[in-house]
Amino acid sequence: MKNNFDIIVVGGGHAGVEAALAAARLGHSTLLLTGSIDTISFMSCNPSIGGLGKGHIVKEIDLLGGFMAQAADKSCIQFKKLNQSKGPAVRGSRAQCDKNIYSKTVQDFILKQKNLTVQEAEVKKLILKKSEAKGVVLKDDAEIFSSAVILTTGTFMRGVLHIGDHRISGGRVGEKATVGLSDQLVNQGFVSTRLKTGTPPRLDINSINWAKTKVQKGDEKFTPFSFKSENKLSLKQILCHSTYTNEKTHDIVRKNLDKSAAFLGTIEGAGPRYCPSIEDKITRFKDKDRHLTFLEPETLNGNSIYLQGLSTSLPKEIQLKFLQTILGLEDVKILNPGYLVEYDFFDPLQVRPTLETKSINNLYFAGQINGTSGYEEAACQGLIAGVNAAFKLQKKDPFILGRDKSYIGVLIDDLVTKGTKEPYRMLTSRAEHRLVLREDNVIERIAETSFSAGLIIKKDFDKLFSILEGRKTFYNEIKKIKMVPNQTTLEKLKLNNFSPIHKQISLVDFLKRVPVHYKNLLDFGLKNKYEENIHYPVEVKIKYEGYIKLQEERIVRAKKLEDMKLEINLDYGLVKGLSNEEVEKLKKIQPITLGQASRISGVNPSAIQALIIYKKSLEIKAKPAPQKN
Amino acid sequence: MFRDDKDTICALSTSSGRGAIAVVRISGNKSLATVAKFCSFLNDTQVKSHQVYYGFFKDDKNKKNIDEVLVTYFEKGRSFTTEQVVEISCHGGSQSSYQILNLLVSAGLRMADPGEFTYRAFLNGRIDLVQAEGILSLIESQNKTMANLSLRQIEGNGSYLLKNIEKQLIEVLAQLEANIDFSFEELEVSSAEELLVQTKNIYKEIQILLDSYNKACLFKEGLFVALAGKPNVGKSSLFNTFLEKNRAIVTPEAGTTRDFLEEAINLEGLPVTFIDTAGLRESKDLIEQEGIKKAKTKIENAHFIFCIFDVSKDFLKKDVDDLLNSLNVADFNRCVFIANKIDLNTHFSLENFYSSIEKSFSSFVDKPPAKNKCFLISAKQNKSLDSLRNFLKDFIKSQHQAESAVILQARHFDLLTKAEKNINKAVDMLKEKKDLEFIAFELQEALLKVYNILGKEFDDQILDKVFKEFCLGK
Repeated sequence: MKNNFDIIVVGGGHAGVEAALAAARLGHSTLLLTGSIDTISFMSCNPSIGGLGKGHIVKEIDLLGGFMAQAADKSCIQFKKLNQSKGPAVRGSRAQCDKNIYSKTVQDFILKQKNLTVQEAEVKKLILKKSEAKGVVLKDDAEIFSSAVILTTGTFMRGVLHIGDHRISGGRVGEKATVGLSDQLVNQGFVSTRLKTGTPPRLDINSINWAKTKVQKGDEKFTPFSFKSENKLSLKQILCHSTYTNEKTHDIVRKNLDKSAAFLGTIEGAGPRYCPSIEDKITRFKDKDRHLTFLEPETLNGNSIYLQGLSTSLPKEIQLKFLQTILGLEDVKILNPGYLVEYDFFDPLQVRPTLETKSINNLYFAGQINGTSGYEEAACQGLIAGVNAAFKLQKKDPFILGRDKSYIGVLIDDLVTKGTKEPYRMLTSRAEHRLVLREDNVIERIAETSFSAGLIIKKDFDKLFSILEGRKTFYNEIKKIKMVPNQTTLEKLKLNNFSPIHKQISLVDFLKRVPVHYKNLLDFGLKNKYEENIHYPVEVKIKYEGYIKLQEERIVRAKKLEDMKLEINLDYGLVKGLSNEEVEKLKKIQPITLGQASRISGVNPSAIQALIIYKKSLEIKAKPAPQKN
Repeated sequence: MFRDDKDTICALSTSSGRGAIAVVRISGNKSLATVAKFCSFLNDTQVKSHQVYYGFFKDDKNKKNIDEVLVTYFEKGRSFTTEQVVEISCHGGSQSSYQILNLLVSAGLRMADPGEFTYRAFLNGRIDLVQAEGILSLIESQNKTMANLSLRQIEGNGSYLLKNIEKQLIEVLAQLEANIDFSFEELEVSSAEELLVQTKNIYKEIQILLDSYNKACLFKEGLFVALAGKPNVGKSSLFNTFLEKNRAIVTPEAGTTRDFLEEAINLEGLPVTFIDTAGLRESKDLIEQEGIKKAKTKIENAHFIFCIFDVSKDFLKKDVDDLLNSLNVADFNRCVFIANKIDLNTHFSLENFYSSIEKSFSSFVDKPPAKNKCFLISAKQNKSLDSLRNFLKDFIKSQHQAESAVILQARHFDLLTKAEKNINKAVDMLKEKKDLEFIAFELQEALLKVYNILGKEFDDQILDKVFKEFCLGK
C-alpha cells in the first residue's frame, strides 16, 4: 500500500468525510483513516440533519462544495421547516433521515472520489518533526507520511460510555476508543479537557401503543438542502409521533438521580446545556409537569425508534421503568439503552481560524475534538480544515468566512476567539447579523466567494448564477407591473380580504403588505410563473427591506474593525495601555483582525483603542521621513 | 486621536492666570528622574509615594533658583494615571510655571495634549468612560450641586444605573432568543405578555434617566426665565427691576423692545437668566416681526414663562386667552401668571386675577395653575417683587435637594434617547405580536447604545470626542 499522501484525515465521521472530500477535490492525494468503512458518516445520535441554525450550515456546506446536503436530501424520510410561524431569518430546514441510507450514500460517494483513498486502520500517534505534522503511525507500527494531518476523532479520544455506574471504554456502542493519540498531544503541550454528551434509548417499534401518541406529520412541501438535488423526494415519507412525560415519570427519575452516570460525580466533563438530558430537565425546569418527546423511526424498514428529547444515563432497568410511565410506552421494549459518552477535547483557542493548530504546523483539528456538538457543526469544520490544509500546501491565502457572511464564520470565530466550556451547538442567536444570514439567501452570501476560491466548479457556479438571474428577472417583472385602483382591481382586493389601494402601485409595493404573498401576485397581473427558489427569496427581501437595511448598516459599522488586520506575531507587550491580562489573552488567542480582538472576553474597548493607536504609530514610523526642501 | 508613546508628559494643571499657587503635573516613567535634575533636594532623601518635599527648583545649567516649590510624588500604580506622577506646586502667575515647564521640556519631557492625563487614566483602566466624563463635568461645574452630581458620576453612580438597564435588556433578550432557538423543544421560557411587562419596565427606567437630564442641564446652564406678554404690559420694567439696573429701554410706547435681551443674576448659587422678549402682537414692522419670532423660540425653551398682564385698567378672561394662544408651547405647566401695575388699580385682588385665569383655562385641556403661581406686583414701584423672587429661590432650593440627576452629558442623553426609541418600537411590536427576531433586533440596538455610553462598545470617535473636551493638564 502507498505510504505517502499529501493530506491524511484521521476519523470517518461527519467532519472527517467533508475534510477528506474537500482536500481530494482540491487535487491532493488524500487518505482517510477510519476504524470501519461501514460506520463512515454514522449518525450516532439523532437521525436527522438540519434544524435551527443548523439548516443554514448545511446549505452553506453545499455552496462550498460539501456533500452533507445531498446525502440528507437523498435519505430524507420526513422534511420540516422549523419556526415557520416566526420570521424568515430564523426558519430552519430539518430532514429526518434513514440513518442507514444516509451513511450508505456518503460511503458510496466517498469511495468513488478521485484522489481519495479510504482505509480501515487505527492510528497510534502522529509523526512530528520540529513542530510540524508529517504523517501518522498505525497500530501495527506502519508509518504513513503526509504534508498535513487533519484530526477528526469525534468522541473517540479516550472515549468512555456510561450507563448508570456501568462504564465501558469506547467512542460509540460497540466501537473501540482511541488511546495514545491524546496523550501524545498533551505531551506536546496541548491542553485537553473532558466533555460529555448523551443519547436517548432506542425503542422497539412493535412495543409502542401508537394509538395513544400524537401523529407528527412532515411538511407537504419539500425544499432540498442542496442546489444540486432535484426538487423531489426519493424515499417514502414516514410519520413521526409525539408523547409527553408526566409526574410519575419525573418521580422515578428524581428518586433515582443518584444512579444516573451524570450525577454520580465520576464524570469531569461538562454536558451540552442546550441538549439537556431528562435528568437535567427535571432538575432545571422544576415547575414543568411534562416534557415533550418525539418518537422518530431511525430507518424506513427497521424497527428502531429514536426518542428525541429524552437522553439519559440512568441504569437500563430504571430507563425502562420511567419509560413505561409514559403514555403509549406502557409496554415498551428497549433495543439500546440511552448512554452518556465522555471524551477528550482540545480547547479550540489552540487552533487558528483556519483550524490549523497554533503550536504544530500542518496539523488541523475539526469537529467534536474542538468542543462542538452536532453533525452539521462537525461537517463544516471538516470542510474548512480540508480546504485550508490544501490551500496551505498550495501556498494560497487562508480561507476564512466572515461572521457577516455565514454561520460557519460565526461558529469558527466563536470557537477560536472565545473557546468553549461545553459542547457548542449552533443557535441563531449566536449570529449578530442574523437578519441577513438566511437560508434563502445562501447563494447571494457564498457562491461568489466559493467559486473564486475554486471550491465549486464552473458548471455549478453557472447554475447558481442562473438562479440569481432568475431572481432579478422576477423582481424586474413585478417592479414593472402596476396595479391601478379601478373597479375590477378593487373588487378583486375585496374578494381576497385585502385592503383597497388608493393610487397606482407596483406589484413590488403590493408585495410589501403583510398578508400578500407571491401566489396572490398571479391574480393581480403577474403573467409568468416562478419556482419557489426564485420568488421566495425576492419576497423576503422586499418584505423585510427595512430591517435588512438596518442590519447591513450594523455590518458596515462592524466592518471597520474587521478590516483591520493584526499580525500573528505582534508583540503585545510593546503596546501601551494594555493590561497584563489583556496582553496574555491577545498573545494566546492571536486574533487576526481587530474585530476578532474586540470579541475576546476580558479585552476592553480601551485596549482596541490602544491597538489602533499602536498600529497607526507603526505606520507612521514605516513611512520615510519627509524630505526638507 | 491621542498619541501612543511612552513619553513622559507635563502640563500646567491649574488654570492659567492669577492665583496664589500653580501646579505642574508630570506623568510617565521619567517623571521623578527628570524633576530630580532640577530639584536637588530630592536626591538627598529616599523619596516616598504620597509625600510632599520642600525645596528650590533650580535651572540645571546656571544653578539659578527658579522658584520655591513643594513636590509631591506618586509611585506607579498609585496615581491618577496609574503611571509614575510628580506634582510641583509653585507660585502662581505665569512666570514661574512657564519657566519650570520650559526646563522640563528641554530635559526631554513632552507637553501633554488636552485631556491626556485623564485619557491615560482611562487607557490604563483606572476609570471607565462615564467616570472620565464625570471628571470633565466636575471641572466645569459652576455650582455645588453640579459638582456633587459629577462626583457621584465619578464614583460610578451613573454607570451603575446604566448597567442595571443593560442587565435587564440582556435578560429580556435571553428569554426572547430562547423562544426563537428552542421553539422546537417546547422550552419556551417566557410568554409574550411577560416579555412585554419587562420591556415596558426598561422603557420607564430609561425615561426617568432621560428626565434627569433636564435637571442636569439646569445646573449646567442655569435657569432661564422668559418674560412674555402683550406690548407695553411692563416686561422691560420687570426685567430692569430684577437686574437692578436699567438694562432695557422703557417707554410708554408699545413695541419698544423689538429684539430680545438676556441678562443673568445669581440666585441661590445658580445663574438665572431673564429674557426680555418683544411684545407678542400682530405687527407690520419687519424688524418687530423677526423679534416676535425669536421671542417665541426663547419662550419655548425657557424653564419658566412669566406671563405678564397689565391690570391697570380692565383685566378680562380674553387677555389670558390671547396670551396663552400666542404662546407656542406644548403645555402651560411652566407658566407663571403675573398681574403688573397694581399700583394703578388698588381694588384689583388676587381673587379677581385667579378667577379670570381659571375661566380661561376651562377652554384648554391643561389644568389651571396652582394659586402660588399667580402674583400681583408693581414692577415700577418694586412692589411685591420679593414674593416672585422667593418663588424662584424655592424652586432652585428644591432642585438642589433632590440630587437624583444622573444623566449629565449630552452624549449620554442623545444615545439614551435613541435607545428609548428602539425600546418603544420593541414594545409596540410585542403588542402587535410581530416576529421575534425583529423585536430582538430593536433590543440589541438599544443595548449597543447603552454599551456605547459605557464605552463598552468600541467606537473610534467617542474617545476622541470625550477627551477633546478636556482642558490642558487634566
